[in-house]
Amino acid sequence: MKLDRFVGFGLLIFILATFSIEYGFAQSCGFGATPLTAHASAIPGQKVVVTWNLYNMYSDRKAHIVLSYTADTDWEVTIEPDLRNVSYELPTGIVTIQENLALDPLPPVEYKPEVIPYGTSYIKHPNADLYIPAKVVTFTIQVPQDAKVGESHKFHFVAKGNCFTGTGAVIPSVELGLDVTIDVVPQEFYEREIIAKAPWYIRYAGTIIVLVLIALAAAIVVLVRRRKVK
Amino acid sequence: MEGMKEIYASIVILIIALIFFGFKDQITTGIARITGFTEWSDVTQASVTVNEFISATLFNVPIQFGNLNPGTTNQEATNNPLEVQVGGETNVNYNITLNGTSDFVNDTNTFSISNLEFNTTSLDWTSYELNVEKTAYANQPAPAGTPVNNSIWHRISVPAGQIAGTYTANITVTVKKA
Repeated sequence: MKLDRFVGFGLLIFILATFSIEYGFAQSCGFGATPLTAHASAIPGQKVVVTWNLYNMYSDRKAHIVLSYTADTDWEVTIEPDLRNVSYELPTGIVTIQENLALDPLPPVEYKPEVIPYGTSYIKHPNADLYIPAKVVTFTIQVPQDAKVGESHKFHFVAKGNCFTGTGAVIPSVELGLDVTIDVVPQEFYEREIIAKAPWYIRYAGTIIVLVLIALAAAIVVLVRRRKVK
Repeated sequence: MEGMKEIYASIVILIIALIFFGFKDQITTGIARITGFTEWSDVTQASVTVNEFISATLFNVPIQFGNLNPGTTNQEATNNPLEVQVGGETNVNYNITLNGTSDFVNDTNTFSISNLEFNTTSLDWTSYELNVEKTAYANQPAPAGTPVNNSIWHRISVPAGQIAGTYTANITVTVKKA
């Protein structure tokens, strides 16, 4: 009897320990992004709108995303959604953090819903007949009026994701990026053939021929007058 | 009328010269254009851009070392390794880099992030440096539909005489197209 109780108690402890270990070590944090590069042509004064899809298919925590960028020019860039302060209630208390958006862990789905809320999208899964629920981030780049046709600029957008994963000595975050290149082009398209330059004797052939002919005519006139004089 | 033939000839030559002078540009430009003549082909191109995907999920986070005495060296994390799982939908080759973005901090007390080291299946122990990206995995092939785990082990050394307390540091794991 005592042995049965002991075994039962042992089993209970084992189940609880297993559960708590799984719970304790199941923490995962991450997200995905598409696309990773974009290229646009724009005329001076135009706005270029770049959309970026971020999704969270695999982690078991909400990913809190902060967006930023670097560029080789000081063109005006706006990011939507804006960076803002958001408060979350956790088992340990209320925490306020800065984020542009948060990505809930969502598995891929077989069908796109009929109504897709603003700021979200469903991307075709590249390996399966599924759709990935994603949030859409928008970067608007203002090409200045005085931008020179032919110049090209690079922008590197970064999404940095953090999760509330409990206390620990080292807290890692995940970072993914999008590279955008913008070429400044003229408003009207044109195509002009560049004609190769002819050698000098062809370029001046007309003048040479005219001079030769005039000289010939003058020589004839002189010869005729000499004959008359004789 | 002696010499009339020559006079007529010179007048004809002058007229030819004047006509030539009038059409000089057209004639010479025509000659020049032939030198820059280009071929024409009627091939039509079709192009399509396949979108790139990348995703990364960290397992065994945060990195924990438990309670350590000052002067402890090369103590491995209790939850080693940190797994960087690159999703199966990722369709580009990728690099994984690590960057220590803060020192170990406890209120006003700190010690350097360079006391933290990492290693991978292909690297020896490498120290973090504050705000310096270090490569953990370079040019890894795109997963062919199956998630790929990239393991990263960590160890720490606590400086001798370090003030007691719970210290935390931040690192950033960047997964980017190779």
